[in-house]
Amino acid sequence: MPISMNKKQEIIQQLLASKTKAYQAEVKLLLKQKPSEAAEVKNHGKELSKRIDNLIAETMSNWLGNADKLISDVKLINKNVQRSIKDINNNVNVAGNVVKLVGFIDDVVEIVDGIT
Amino acid sequence: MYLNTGIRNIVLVVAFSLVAGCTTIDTKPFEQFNSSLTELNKGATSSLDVTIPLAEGRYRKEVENELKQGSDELLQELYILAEGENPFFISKPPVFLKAKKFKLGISKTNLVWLDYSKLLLQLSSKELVDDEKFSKLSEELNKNAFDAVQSLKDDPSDTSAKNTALFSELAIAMAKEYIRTKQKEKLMESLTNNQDSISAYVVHMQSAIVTMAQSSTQEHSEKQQNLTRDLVGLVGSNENGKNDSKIQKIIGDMIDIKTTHTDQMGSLQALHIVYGKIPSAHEALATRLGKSDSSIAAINDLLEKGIQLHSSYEAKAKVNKAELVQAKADAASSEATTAEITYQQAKLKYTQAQFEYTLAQNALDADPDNEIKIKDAEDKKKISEELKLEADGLKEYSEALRAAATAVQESANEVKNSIINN
Repeated sequence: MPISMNKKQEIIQQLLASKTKAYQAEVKLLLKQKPSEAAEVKNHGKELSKRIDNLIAETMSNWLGNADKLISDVKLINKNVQRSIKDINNNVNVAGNVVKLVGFIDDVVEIVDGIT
Repeated sequence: MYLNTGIRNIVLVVAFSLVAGCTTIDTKPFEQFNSSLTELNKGATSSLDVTIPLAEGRYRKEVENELKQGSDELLQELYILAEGENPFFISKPPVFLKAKKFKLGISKTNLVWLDYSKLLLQLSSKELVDDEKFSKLSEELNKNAFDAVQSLKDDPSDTSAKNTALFSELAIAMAKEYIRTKQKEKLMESLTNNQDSISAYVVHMQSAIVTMAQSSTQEHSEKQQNLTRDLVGLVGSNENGKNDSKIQKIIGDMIDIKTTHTDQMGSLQALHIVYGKIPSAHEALATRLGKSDSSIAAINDLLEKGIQLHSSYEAKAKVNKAELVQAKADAASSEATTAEITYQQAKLKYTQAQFEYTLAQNALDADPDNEIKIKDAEDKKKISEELKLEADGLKEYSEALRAAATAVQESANEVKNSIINN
């Protein structure tokens, strides 16, 4: 049975997916001996995590936003994040994909900032 | 307050209505409904306890890290700030404080359900309660309902409270009709008309559980990621296996985090499912009022799931507790073993130095006026004495750790035995 979530919870769920993917990427970069790239992904992931904290706190109060478009935007970004992680894992243009990944995380942060 | 006065009136109206016709009511379904919600409340309270300490721990650490980097952004959430216009202003608190309040709201809302089912049970009983007791029950229900709404939302307005009311206006009207006519069917219709409010209340509760689950995932993933970073760092600098025990400790901690998260998700999901069964059970109560042989399977189902939720959490808590104490004992033992190995290595070094000193002293005895040999023997004696001091210190330290580890293991055994015996 699908779990029913309200719009704000759907967004938080997508953001959690973005964040945990970013954290996976960070570990993969660390294991590939790319500490500066990993640190960059870490810092951007931490920013995303802060936004999630804020949204959860606001959800615990009352928070409303224009959600549908945001959810589909973040879903799309998550797909791109997954693609970049796959490429990094397969050693395909690691440097370029780290730049892309960081850009995707920033996009999510920007979306969240736009609604809070 | 609309909710307070509104619900009080409704409860009293429904209460007196039920008193008038309850002598022919089968109380068993009401008893089971009440038992179900009692079990649900026990399970719910227990399953919400894990996340908040994690969130507080993370907040404390992050405040410190930020301050070291010259930022007070997170610390500001602890500042007491005043606002020009509002004497009751409270500035934005840290997430974990908000979560504490939220959890309190869920617990209070569970109590509202309990109050509601107790009230129905009282009303269905052959031994009728008096007006005074009804008034008291209804007041408690009102108070808990309003408090719960206040705790779950920061919006103190009447609109917010009205939207989460347990009794609908239509149900009130039908209850009034029941009072006037004294027909049991009217009471049944009243409960049926209240069905939508019950369902809406359940949606509200399920939503709160989803937020708790998301908060749990956020906290557990943060904790896990910090451990992963430490782990990768230690593995990368593990020359000659010097970090082996720390690496294993972190992997153990990660296993604990994964287990805790898995258990909590299981409990929260079960709670979500149990809440979802309340509307059908409530509907079965109303149907039973109208038809004495109608099925109460939905109520039995709710009761069964409520008991499962509670007993499953209790079982997990026991296993977790046993694993936790044993893990602590293992960690203490591992630390003592590491210290003992370090002591043995120091002792070996001392023995070698002592041997070299003996050789130097023998050489000096054979040639007592040789300045070089005098210096060499003195140096080696000094080194040997220093290493002996170091080895003695390490011996004392490792013995203390071993004694502590033995005590922790004994205490773990006691805890595990008490769990088995209970």
